[in-house]
Amino acid sequence: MYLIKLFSSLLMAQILSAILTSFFILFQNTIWNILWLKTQGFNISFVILFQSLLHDLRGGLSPMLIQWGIPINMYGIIFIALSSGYLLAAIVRLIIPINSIFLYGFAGFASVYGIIFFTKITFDEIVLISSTRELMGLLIFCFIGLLGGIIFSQFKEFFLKVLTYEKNN
Amino acid sequence: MKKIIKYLLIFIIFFSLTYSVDAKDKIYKLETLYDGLDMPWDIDFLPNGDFLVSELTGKLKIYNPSFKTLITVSNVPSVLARSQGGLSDIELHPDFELNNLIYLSYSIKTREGNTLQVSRAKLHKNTLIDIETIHTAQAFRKTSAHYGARLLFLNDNTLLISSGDGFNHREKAQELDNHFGKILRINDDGSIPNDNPIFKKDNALKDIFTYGHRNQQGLTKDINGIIYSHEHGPKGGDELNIIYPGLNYGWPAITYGIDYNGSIISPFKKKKGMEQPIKYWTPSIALSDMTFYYSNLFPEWYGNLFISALSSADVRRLVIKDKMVVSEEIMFEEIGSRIRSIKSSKDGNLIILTDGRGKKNSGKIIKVSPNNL
Repeated sequence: MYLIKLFSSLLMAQILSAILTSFFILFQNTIWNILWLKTQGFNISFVILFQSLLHDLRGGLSPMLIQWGIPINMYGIIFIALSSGYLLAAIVRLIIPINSIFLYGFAGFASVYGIIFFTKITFDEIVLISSTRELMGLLIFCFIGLLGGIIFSQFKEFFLKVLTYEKNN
Repeated sequence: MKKIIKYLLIFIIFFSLTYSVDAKDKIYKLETLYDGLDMPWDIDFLPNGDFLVSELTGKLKIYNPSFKTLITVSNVPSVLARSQGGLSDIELHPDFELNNLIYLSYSIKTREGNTLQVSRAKLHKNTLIDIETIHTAQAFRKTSAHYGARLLFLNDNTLLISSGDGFNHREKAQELDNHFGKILRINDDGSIPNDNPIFKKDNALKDIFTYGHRNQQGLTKDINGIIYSHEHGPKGGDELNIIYPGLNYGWPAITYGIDYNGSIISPFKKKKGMEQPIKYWTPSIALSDMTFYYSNLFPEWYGNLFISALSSADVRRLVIKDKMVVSEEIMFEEIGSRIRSIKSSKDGNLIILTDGRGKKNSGKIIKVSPNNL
């Protein structure tokens, strides 16, 4: 029973982390594009900004890659990348007792960087997420991954406490 | 047994009739002239009727339609054949019969990155001689994507070069200190014409003719010398533009397409000072080449613009009146393959190249000729 609760808490924390990371990544992308348009003399109202963000959040659902015949969207890619990173971090933590926040934060950072790294390898140096084509954008992008990792680390503990609350009392 | 033969006969007669009705409906017939090219990219016609064919993998070939033979031209400049890069366009000098000059566009690897290069050489007995590089695009990148790479000689013997945005460098298409996302105009020796447009920016490169393009793989002119260019959009927003010197065609500040990750590149489709396409396609059909048709073999097609497409694997016949597209017909879908290039031959037939992507040596040369000949 405890294992089921542990697994559930990990899954919930992972989903929450992936959703928030995706949201911030897409938000960064929208802002990045809008800021560039501002430099080109476009008048960007709050309505345009809001509509663009909504569009991008919805657009993230459309297929971005087709791997082994399976279409994968932006959310899917982020979810898979973070899951792989957290799994590796969990294995590392079994061997070396590293601070959870630090380790999962680093895993989040490395996982989203991995998205850029592997798409560049797969698509001959093409960077599909436009906001990461410059160093500053890439750093912000990886920092969002780091935040995602910290969120995961905190919420897995939180969900586990919630799910095991009855047992402890 | 008799019954079976009877039904078989009825079946054969029925399908023969259906086929003949179908064949009668079409004013054209398709004939595969050659099968086995390795990712062909462009085709041009020599005065003696032979075809010059470039293969992205770096080979230039001469096809003889009478003997159906293919000869590889030697001494072709080495190219960076990777992803979308390689040997691309071929353009014969307008005075080819006097000077034997051909122009080639291709991607190369340099210390600064890879980029688009244009060279000219004399075609002498299936060999290129006197090779001279006349242009290296100031568009260095790590990717092997979005080179543009189309060439077009204008009536004044100046050469237009389409230079793509390099995929990762789209914003540079709006800057004038580089060749990303530009159409360039140079003299036939590579020098810069005196009458090129003048831009009000100190660092503007003098060979820029137009800017704000993405990946322009179609460049042609009509009988009146009006220049047409088409470019790949991202997800949607493939464009057909009429090209006027000095103008900004908007990419990526205005676009009808969205990014591959589903996000907006720009929420704007129009802006003062940025040109609108005369037609756009959403979803994208991946425009690859185009040609105007001026021959009486197909009088009903006279003056129409034929655009080949990769992802939709067809050809679009556009009727253009007063610089506006009035109708579009989807054609040659029966080829069922990505169409890389389309050209109108001197004898009035259309010649199509399929690129056979994914399969080595499966590109074809297909002739479209009247059905009644």
